[in-house]
Amino acid sequence: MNINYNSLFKKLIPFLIIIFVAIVIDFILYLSLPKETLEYTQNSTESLVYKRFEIQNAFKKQNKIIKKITKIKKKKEDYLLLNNINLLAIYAMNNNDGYIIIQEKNKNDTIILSKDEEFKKYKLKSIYKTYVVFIKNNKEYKLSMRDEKSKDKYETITKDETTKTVQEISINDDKVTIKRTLIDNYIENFDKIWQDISIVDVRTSNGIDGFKISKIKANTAFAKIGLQKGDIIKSINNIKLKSYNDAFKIYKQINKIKSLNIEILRDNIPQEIYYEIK
Amino acid sequence: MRNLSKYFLYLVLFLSVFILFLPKEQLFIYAVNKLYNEKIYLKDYIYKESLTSTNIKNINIIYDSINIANINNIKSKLFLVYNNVDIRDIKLDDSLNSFVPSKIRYININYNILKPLYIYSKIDAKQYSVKIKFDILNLKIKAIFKTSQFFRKKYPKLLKELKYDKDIKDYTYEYKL
Repeated sequence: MNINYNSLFKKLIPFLIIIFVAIVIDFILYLSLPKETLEYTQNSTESLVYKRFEIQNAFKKQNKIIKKITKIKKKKEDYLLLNNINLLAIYAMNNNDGYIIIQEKNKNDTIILSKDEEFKKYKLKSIYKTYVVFIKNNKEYKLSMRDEKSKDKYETITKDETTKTVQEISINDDKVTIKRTLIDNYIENFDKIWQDISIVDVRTSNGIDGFKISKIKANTAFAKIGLQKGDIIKSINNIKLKSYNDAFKIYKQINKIKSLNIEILRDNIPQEIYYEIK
Repeated sequence: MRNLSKYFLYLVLFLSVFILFLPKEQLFIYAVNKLYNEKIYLKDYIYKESLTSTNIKNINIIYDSINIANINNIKSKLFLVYNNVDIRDIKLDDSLNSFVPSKIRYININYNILKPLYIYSKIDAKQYSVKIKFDILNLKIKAIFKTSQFFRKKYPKLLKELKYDKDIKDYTYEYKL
């Protein structure tokens, strides 16, 4: 058998070229495509320090309990927060002058301080309408009090006890109790939640870090339990709200939950609100 | 005619070699990274491939830090003239239960050169099934639902997004990209 290799090779050349071209294109594709997937990073679970806020005290003018306030940097003013003093009243005058009434944590005695006076080496530097600034070792410390507007709001709410929602939220000296029927009503009418309250996620470089209340309807359950426009809900029942999934999980379990412990950030001050569900 | 068949043979050979040596895993990684940019992350999956198919098992899908779904198996066969993707046992996160049914038995996506202008898809779940037709030319999606009584009762909000068709006595959905 006589095989003409030259002629066979000539016939195969186009096929070999096509195979070569296809392989080269695939190889270029291989080189240009990524070899590894991007690393998924779970959102930081950095815990938030907070000042405990007893809801029942929102209805009183006194007995505010500050459990914990630690170093929190405010964006514009680089103040640290005092964690062992309650600010009961401010009498602010011009030039950041005036008097304040403070109370040490877990003590009954109140102390009146004027500008430039010292309390435990904290010198009262400036007095503003809603907060004061102390100075110690060249570091400035901010001490705030709940704004008067919110006080008025709470007082108005307590008077408005005729509506059904109020009947479903009872405020005693020691605790706030929400009736289960109110929760069930919200579960059944999911849309009603968004009629009464609007929230937007708060995003940092690490992802979602709580949900801000952008709108809250007056005289609704949300308003009556003490939430306000601008509050950032950081966690509910110690579940940090780092994603929509966290919020969904709470919504899903809400019919089994017997108490609600909401950590909020109000005017950059962490607070905690506790409710019982019966 | 002889020339035409010769070029056709060249084309078939090119496509065969091209598909055979296609860096499928890298393409999959590229798709995963693209999804990541859209805040969709695929996690914990096991990737396997053969000459013409890929098989991805146990995929957790995370969207914007929310674990939204788990897929047991995605099997794809790519021949360019006939492409088929089979997605089996999809479980959406329980937290989405109030909005959409959480379990889907399978989703099938099919592209056939005999109908080059359409991509067909089927979704089958316990309480409903959907037939989807995607018009490539007009970028139009049409879905025809077959829903159970239970589905209609449980997901009225979802049905609001759909359109009731009197002829088929069920719901349809149309969307233009």
